[in-house]
Parts: sequence; structure tokens; C-alpha cells
Amino acid sequence: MEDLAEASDAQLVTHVARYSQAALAEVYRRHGGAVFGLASRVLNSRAEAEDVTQEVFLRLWNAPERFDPTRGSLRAYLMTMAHGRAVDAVRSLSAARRREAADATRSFAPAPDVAQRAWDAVVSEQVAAALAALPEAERRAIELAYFEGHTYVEVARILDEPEGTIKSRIRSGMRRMRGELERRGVQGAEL
Amino acid sequence: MNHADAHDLLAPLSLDALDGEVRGELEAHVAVCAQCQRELDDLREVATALGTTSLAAPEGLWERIAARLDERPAPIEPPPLVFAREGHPPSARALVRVRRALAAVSLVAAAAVVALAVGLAHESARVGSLTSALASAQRGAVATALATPGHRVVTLTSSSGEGLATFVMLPDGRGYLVRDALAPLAAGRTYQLWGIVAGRPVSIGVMGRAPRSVTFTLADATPSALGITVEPRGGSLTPATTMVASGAV
Ligand SMILES: [Zn+2]
Repeated sequence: MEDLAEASDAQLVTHVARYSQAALAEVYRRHGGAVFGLASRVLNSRAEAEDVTQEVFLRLWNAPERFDPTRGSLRAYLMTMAHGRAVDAVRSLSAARRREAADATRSFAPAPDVAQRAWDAVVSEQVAAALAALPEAERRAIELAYFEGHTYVEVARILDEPEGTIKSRIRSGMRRMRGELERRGVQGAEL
Repeated sequence: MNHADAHDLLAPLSLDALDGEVRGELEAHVAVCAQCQRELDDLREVATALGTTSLAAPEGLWERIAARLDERPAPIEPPPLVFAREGHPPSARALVRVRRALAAVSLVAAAAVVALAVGLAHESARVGSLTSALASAQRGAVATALATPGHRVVTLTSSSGEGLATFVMLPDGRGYLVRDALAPLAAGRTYQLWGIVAGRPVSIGVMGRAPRSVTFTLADATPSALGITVEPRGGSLTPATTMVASGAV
């Protein structure tokens, strides 16, 4: 087998399809931190974020053919799966339980893939700047939906705005984000 | 849901900010609308950036994931890439089984060291959608191979003479599955391709439950015959008793 560390993400998945645990470990090395980070941000619970992370990687192990490299990056595929599962979990938890579950999610062991983490740090910095450049109303709607796990209908209720308004704020905010990120040199393919 | 309504909701969908019926209807539309699918894929990349942190996964989490992989039935690494095992020849019994299975093929018994490097690009039904993007390139490669001087077409037949698989092999060692009539296997089984090199069965690679596109490269050795067996998922180091199809090169 060629050196897994040199393999592209898509190549790694073909190895995963052949039940190579080493290939799955390499995928985890590259993306495990980001998947866990997103899940813990949405769930605000380390234990539950770990569960979601496990599910995501077991899913890739069991059904690698679900990943279609022509549709986007492996990172986006894994993050989409993680976000969906985290949001499902959040919606099934009571608000009280969510507060209770909020334990420390700040000090974790370093990930082995230093270069990937450094890049992720750059991306998250650029994302923070891009978010800050959005009109406040758009940013708020996106954050409530994406990080708090609310539906756009709930966001409308929380902000006391018409649903249609929130829908178009999310749409224009996401479009603006895309433009901002491209301007800052952060594009899908590089994630 | 029509395209205009769907398109309107793609941004909330990319943030998982829909639920219930609307979500189901939208996902059904996206599944059949290439334009919405592209747009959603794009938005998902933006959402992914939004969710990117430089957090590290907690220590020990990988070990817990790996432990759950072990619950699966015997994950096996793909067949080794290089067979160079003087002093560790395939067992006599395995060889006898293959001889019997390949009775039609003249096998040369030899103790020579055989090195056969194999790169399988696409081999498994599990990689189905991964290879779909490459399927047309594969068809092109097959057509090119069939037009290349010195190519050989190898037809593998069942014991009753039925043609089950046809490969085209190039002088430089590349080979492609041209067509096959192999019935899809039950879960947990795979077809595995073998080359008989200097009288020994050498794994070329596993082909999956329902082979579609198979590409391989043989380095340093030309097999005198090819054979296909049914093996447990992941493949075996020595072939099963019965070749489902075989053919001289
Ligand atoms: Zn559409």
C-alpha cells in the first residue's frame, strides 16, 4: 500500500472501502478534530460530541460508498454528517439537560496532524473575520441556526421576525459568507 | 416541491435549519435536481468552513472508535502487494486445490521467488459511487487498451464453459475488466482475482460483491492464467477450493 499520509482524501476512502483501518485512522487524523470541534460546539457537551464523532467515523467505515468525491470535499461530507447528527441530538434534548450537559470542552490533547490543525486555525480565523463582516441580522440568524441547532422557523420566533425574512437573511448571509471566504482565499476545495 | 421553492430553502437546509415535512420534500427535490444539488454542495462547503475549529479530538477517542471496528466480522487488510516469500510458499494443499480448479491450465511448478506488485484502483461495490466519476474514464481506458497493439483479451469461463468475465491486458502489465456476467454475491463475500505465476496462485486483488470497473497493474510478472474465486469480504491469502471462472492468458 502506498504511503497513506500522502494519499488524497478520496484515495483514503477507497482504502477504507477495502476495510483498511489504517486508512480510516488517517482520515481521523486529518478530520477527527474538526468533526469533534463542530459537534462539541453545537452540543456543548464533550461526551455527546464524542458519541457523534464515533458515529460519523463508524458510518464512513460501514458505508464509504456514500461519499461522492464529485460532490465536494471529504471534510464537508464528514462535517455535514456531524452537524446533522449533533442537531438531531440537540433537538431531542431538553433545554435544562443541555445546560447540565455543558461541561468543559476547551482543553483537549493535541491532534497528531499539526499541519491540518494549523490550516484549520487559519480557516477559523478567516471565518470569524468573514462572519464579523456580515450585517448583524444575517450573522445572528446564521449563528442561531447553525451553532444553536434551531430551525429557521424557530429563529424567526426567537428574533420575532417573519419566517420569510429569516429565510432570506440566511440565504443572503450564506452568499455573502461564500464571497468573503473566497476573497480571503478560503475555498471549499482547500478545506 | 417545485424548483423555485426548493432553491429558496437551500441555504437553511445547508445549516440543517429545516425539519419535518418541508425537509423531506426538499431533500426529495434535491435528489433529482442537479442544479439544486450543486448549489447545496456549495453551501455545505461554506457551512463546513463556518464550523471549522482547530480543536483536537480528545485523547482516547480514536481507540474507542477502533475498538468498535473490531466488533465487525474480521476486517482483513487487502491482499499483500508483494509476494516474495522464499521459504514461505503457499501451502501444498492450497496449491493442489488450485491445480485441480485450473486443471485446464498448464501449471508450471517452480520454487522461484515471485514478486508481483498490484495496484487495484477500483475493486469493490463499497466504492461504487467513488468510481462512478471514473466510470467513463474507465470505459475510455478499456477502449484504448483494446486498440493498443500487443493487447491480449482473456476470457474466464466457468467449468461448464460459460463466459463469466473478460479482461484486456496490456504488455505493460495493466489490465481492465471489459465485461462480466458474475452474479452479485451476498453481503460479506467478494470476488477475488488471481494470477497463476510460475505455477502459484497470486492474489491480484478483490473485486467486490458486484464487480463493475476493475483496473489492475501487474509488475515484473506475467501470469499464465487468471482465475476468480469467491472469498470472505476483504479477500483471502490463498484461494478458495473452487474457481468460479478461469482462463489462460
Ligand atoms: Zn431544483
